Amino acid sequence: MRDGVVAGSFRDPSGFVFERSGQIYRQVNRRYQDSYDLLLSCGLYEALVSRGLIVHHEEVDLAPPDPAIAYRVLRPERIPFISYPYEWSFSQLRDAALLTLEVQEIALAHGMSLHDASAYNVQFRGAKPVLIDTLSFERIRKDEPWIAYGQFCRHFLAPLALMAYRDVRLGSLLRDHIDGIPLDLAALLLPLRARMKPSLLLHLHAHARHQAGTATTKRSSRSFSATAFQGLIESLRTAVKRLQPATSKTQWSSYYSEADHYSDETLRHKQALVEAAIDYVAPETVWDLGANTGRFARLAAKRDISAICFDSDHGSVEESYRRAVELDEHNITSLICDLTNPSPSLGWAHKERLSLIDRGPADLVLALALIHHLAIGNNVPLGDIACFLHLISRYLFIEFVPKTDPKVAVLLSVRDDIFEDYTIAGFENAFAHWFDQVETKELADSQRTLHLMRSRRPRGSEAVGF
Amino acid sequence: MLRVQLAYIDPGSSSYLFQILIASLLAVGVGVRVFWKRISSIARSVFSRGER
Repeated sequence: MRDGVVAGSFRDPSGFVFERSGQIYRQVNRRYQDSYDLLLSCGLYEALVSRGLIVHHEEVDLAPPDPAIAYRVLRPERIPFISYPYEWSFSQLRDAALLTLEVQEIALAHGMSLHDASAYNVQFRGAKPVLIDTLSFERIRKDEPWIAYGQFCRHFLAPLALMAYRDVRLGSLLRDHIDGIPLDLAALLLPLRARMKPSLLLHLHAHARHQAGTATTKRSSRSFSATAFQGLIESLRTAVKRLQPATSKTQWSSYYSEADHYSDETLRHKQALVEAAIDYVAPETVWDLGANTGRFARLAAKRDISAICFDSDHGSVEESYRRAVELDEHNITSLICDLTNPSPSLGWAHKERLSLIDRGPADLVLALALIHHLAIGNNVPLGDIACFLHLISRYLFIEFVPKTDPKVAVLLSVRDDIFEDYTIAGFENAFAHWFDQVETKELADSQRTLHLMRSRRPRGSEAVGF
Repeated sequence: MLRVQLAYIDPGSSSYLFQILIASLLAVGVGVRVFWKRISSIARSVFSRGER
């Protein structure tokens, strides 16, 4: 791998992404010169940027990593956090699909076409999806079908249909199939009633059946008209738009709105303490772990700080995302993440898609009302929790929930208390190995405490203690 | 033999051929939509004239 080259872009012969001095760049290769020039000269790039559909970039005078094949070096707008489709809720994946189709439609009007429709080419700027691959366009091939059609169906339509007709949790299948869910698998898993939808019957079931063995190896001499192309995009858009998640509301998504375990005073006090921690650290990025619907992360987002909410509950992430879209909140991104099994490194040589740890550390990590779920609900030792949080944070603001708290009592009511170390002293001792204490506050009208800590050792300077 | 050959066609190639197969269907879909839009637009203009 060339020095600094971002592994996720190695497949594309048109160019690649590289990092230098903490800044992301994209080398455009000579073989993409004609398409790149056309993208700019035909007005497509301008049309997409003005609508906020693609990241903007500027050409820079920088020595390219591979000068023998280089045509241009671009500095694209930086996305605060790279997320992956298996971390998105239903509506996020659906909006990414609709963005891809909208971009394709505009490209067609400019005589160009997307030559791939990878969900990984879409990222979220806050709650807004945006295409990040400037090199995805080519001059339209007259009378030929959409080269990216199969990929669109695997990356978007198949997972969305499964999430709509079976269960939203099936979006995680994208983690196993990083080039999208095979259509025969999707067709097998979908219920019979999905076949009643003509667009799904066509683009998933008939498509899968054709792939399975009714094809011929010869290219058909018949052409694909512009009207058929238009029909294809309209048909895919109809298919995507008509899909709805089976159900979104869960016990967690209504955790705060129906909360009976917090008094108003406690909530207000907790909010004030979070705000004080944010103001003290003055971070550029905040990760809120176990964020639920993002109540506390929004305190950072309102300060123009990029806030990423992580929660394992699809309903909570979906609700947080929809709210951000409705209220046009710019700095908040909500993602699905089970902290007991966070996104791993995936793909070729384990480098195409980064693990959660590799995408950190965040300037400030919030871990509020979380530790009892990890320590008692999932048997993770306090020392291991501290080590993991150290790896992903520069500062940590964490809430300790003691055994005497009603929520911990509920967890312990159905199991033996084997957690002798789960005390405030055990907590402070475990975290002292990885963090310096900055400040500790007691939460009003409760037995909980909130701790602001600074990661002590330089990240990666010593072996991890797991 | 055919199955063996098909194993060497990647899903993208198969999707390419599939689109050509359904091209007429997609084009008809567009025709129907355009036709329906025209009919509903005419109907709207007739009814709005009647209301005036």
